[in-house]
Amino acid sequence: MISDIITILIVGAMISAIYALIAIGFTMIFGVGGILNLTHGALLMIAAYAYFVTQPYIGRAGGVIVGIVLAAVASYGVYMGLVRYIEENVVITFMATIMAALALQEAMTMAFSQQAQVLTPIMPGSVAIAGTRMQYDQLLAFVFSWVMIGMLWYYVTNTKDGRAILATSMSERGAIFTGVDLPRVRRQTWLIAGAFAGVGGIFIGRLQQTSPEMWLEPLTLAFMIVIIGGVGSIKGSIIAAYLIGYIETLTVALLGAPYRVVVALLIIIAVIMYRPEGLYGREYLE
Amino acid sequence: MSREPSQQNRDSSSNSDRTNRRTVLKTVGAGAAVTSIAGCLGGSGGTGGTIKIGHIMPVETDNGLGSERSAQLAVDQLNENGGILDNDVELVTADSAAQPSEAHSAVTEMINRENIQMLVGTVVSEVALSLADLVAENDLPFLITGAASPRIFAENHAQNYDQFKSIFRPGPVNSIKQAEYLAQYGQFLSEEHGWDTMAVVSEDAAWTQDITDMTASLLEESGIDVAVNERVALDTNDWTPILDQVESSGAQTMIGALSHIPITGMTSSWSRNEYPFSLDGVMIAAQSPQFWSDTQGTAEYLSTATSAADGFADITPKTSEVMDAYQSEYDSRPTTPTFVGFITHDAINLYAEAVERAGTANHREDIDSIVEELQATDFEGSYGQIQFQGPDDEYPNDVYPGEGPGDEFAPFTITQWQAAEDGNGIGDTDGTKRCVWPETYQNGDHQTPSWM
Amino acid sequence: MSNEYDRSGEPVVQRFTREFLGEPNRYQIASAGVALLALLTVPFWAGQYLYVFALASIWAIFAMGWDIISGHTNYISFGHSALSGGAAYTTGVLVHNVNPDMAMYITFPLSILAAIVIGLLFAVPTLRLEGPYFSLITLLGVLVLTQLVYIYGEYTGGELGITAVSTLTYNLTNLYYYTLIPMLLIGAVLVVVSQSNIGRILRAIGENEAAIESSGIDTTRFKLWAFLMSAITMGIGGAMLAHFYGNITPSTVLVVDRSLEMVAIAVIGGMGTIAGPIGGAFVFIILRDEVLTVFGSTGRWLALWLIVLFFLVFLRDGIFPFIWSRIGSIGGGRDE
Repeated sequence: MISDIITILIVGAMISAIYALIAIGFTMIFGVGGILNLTHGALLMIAAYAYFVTQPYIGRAGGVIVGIVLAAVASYGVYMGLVRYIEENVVITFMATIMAALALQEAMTMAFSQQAQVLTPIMPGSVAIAGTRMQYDQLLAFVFSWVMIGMLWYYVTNTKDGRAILATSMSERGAIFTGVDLPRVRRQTWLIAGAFAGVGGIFIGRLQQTSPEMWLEPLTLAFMIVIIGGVGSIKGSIIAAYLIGYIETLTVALLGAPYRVVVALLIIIAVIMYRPEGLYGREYLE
Repeated sequence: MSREPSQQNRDSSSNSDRTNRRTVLKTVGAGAAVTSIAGCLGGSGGTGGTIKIGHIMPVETDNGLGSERSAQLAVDQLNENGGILDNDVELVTADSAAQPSEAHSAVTEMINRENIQMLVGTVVSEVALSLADLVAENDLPFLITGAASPRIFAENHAQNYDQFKSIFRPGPVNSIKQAEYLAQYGQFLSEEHGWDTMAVVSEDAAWTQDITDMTASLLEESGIDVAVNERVALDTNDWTPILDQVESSGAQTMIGALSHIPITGMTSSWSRNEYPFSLDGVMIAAQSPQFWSDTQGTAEYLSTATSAADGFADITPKTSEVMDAYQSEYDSRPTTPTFVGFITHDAINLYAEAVERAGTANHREDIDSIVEELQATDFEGSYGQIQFQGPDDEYPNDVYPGEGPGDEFAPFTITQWQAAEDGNGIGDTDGTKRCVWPETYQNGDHQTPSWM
Repeated sequence: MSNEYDRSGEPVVQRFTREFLGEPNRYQIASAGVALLALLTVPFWAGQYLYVFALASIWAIFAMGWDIISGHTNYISFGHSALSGGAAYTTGVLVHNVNPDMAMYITFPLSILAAIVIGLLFAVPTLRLEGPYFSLITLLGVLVLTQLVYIYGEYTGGELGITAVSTLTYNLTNLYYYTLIPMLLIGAVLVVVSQSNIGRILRAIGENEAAIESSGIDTTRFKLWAFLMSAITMGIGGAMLAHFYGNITPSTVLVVDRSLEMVAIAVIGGMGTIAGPIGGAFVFIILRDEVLTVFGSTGRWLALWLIVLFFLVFLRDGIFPFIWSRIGSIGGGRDE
């Protein structure tokens, strides 16, 4: 009994850390531009495949770096090559980004086949913690998650560019008044969001699966977490990521895996009915 | 949160899988005319006509592509030997993408535009089920190669034989038989290694229901403790909890039935973490000759049920003939015909023999003669001896399963991924497959994982 | 151009078209007439495409069902296949579990009812909120429903599905008219709705909901009505799809891919116009099954999604409104 609880605590913490990585980028982009970037899941996929392709040649650390960089560049590319031209229309952006994600899925299928791929462990091996077998990569994901959150926190509170992002996500109008260069803020946000997605993608791809269809589930997760956490709130997203991570772990343990999405839907409906602005949100789009 | 179940398809002996690839109807072979040539409507008797054979498979999967190539081989070989009833044979192929809707569209067009005389294919049971009405309505001979659901015959032929008489399954044996054979294999493992505890883990899909229901209870009956009998969600991608559960149950093997769920990740996690049990069962992805490289060699010691031992044992003299012909023609993935390829190759040849005997391939006018001769089939194929069950049997037109997995009729084999002797691995790898069960066809011993 | 005083005496047809299609010039009327005539005579000039066109007719129903809510109000649904799939599964589950000979006059209304109930459960709570909530809920809705099909595999057949549903017909000409005529009837009703004041208000909600609300209109009520019409349409289409194939599996009628295809069809055809998505369905299905097949079975989907993306960026109004206005500008065009 006690050991079961400990297992749930540990497993939940590990998976939640990855969910936080996935959701942060999504919420930042939503925060500064009011844009729901539905290619977000595909960015994860790009990072996982980048690691898969390059790791045999340049090693594990190299593969991780290439994956993160490529996801950041791809995110930047999506903004500069597509979203920039249509962002004034939220609905068009919304649909265009999901079409882009579908196109990326087909492109990946053509390049790598439908077959799910195995990624080489970043840190091979495992360790038993309180009777629960944890791969080092799970622990690594946890550490990465918090290190990156820490770095982001430092960035948005202690650097000029970062503060501009924070200000914009609080109030776009206010930010413009204080002389923030809005296009520059958006470009930076997309880059940072892409890097977070890259880290999340490598770990999801490594610990779960790397396949052309791996984008939809993380995207759904990010979407849910952002709604629960409150639009544009990084703090809210982190808390919501842990909430969802633990609820999922509990659901799987108590009801079985097929019920995960059912429980998730119920939670979302409850949140929408009773607290539509989410845990830490401002009213949606002001 | 779930993605809709899917992904990976490697479809199955048993069944099913889906993806979102969709169909493309394309004509392989001479003259890709999409018109119906009047003379070919009959295709019967006369010379100079063309008999078109339709092939429907999810060709993005190894099993599907292996089957398509093997069908082409069979057709080429028939043409070299004068065709069927002095007609040239042409293969018309379509990608079902493992989706019933895609397959339905593709086959409708094959029938109406191409005037195919016979349809072979599908490893996906839902596709086979959904095509039954359509081909029956058109009296089209349909030889099912791969899909293993007993429902195809129980819901159709057993209710109204005359309506569905043109549908046959040359192989493999249906999933009820497979469930029974898996339990026998479990007993073999128990005798071989002294194992007394086993886990049965099936993906939560209709095709595995027989394995959950039957395999476990048959194992129990033979005195083996089934410590885990789980069904896992189709969108499972974190295997750690399940592997941990099997480990803590003390099972010495996990008998899996997994097709939709990608198992490459599970396999590498099992091997790299040295979980102290063996992996056996029906693992569709592991039937592919490229599974060793897909898993970076962590597939070693994993066993899976298949037909024709995937070509790695001489089931009949024809097995190696087909294998060699395939390998001299194709060297890209999949590098062997896959079990489906053998059955498809057999299906086309036994059809050719049957219509030669019937003296007609005109299914629209003379389906009864064709069905009669198909029923009378006694064909030595590359995967085994093929006969069909009679109209009054439990599964009319399904393959006759023989007395057991190891006799000559529709054999059921288990192959294990093992380390190859120097340089004899598949492709450039150092892994190969050996047939470890049943004893009749065995060419290697079942090995326990080195870390156990 | 047109003279206000003459209107009382104008012929009924002309008056109808003026009120519901704006003020088409004679070229527009002629081309709409030709298109309709072409559809009605397909068996005589494109016999080998009958199956494809029949399938396109059903997808046209789905695209219109999506369009009346999402295309008009900009509340984008990513899960409309939950409605059509729910209806198809209702037909299937009734036939499979209750009575294999159950008549269509029982299963059909029940299937439509199911679509409405599913719509009420999943979508209505979010219609009073902003668009993205609606999108998320519809997306989750279709994922949940797909999962339920597996969880209750005993009744639904899991991934193997239900084969007990009777097929409409195997005669392709009949099949074509069985799908085309309901499609045109639904289309006629929805075009009328779309061109009426209700349709105008729905489109206005899509453009600026706050402005409409501040003028004292209860937008939630209008959204609900639109959604109800959408659910009924999806219910009819879903039940038809079940009988079209004669079998039901999650991948045929339910999975989220099907929903995204509906979005794509409406985008190509022209969102918010009803007639556009009808044409869009034919364009989409013909591109997919006949034209883009040169790129192979995966490549054609890549091409298809890129085409949709092209429309979203460069031709947001869709192809048919574009053509319509081009024809409208022939001969001097309308003096607007």
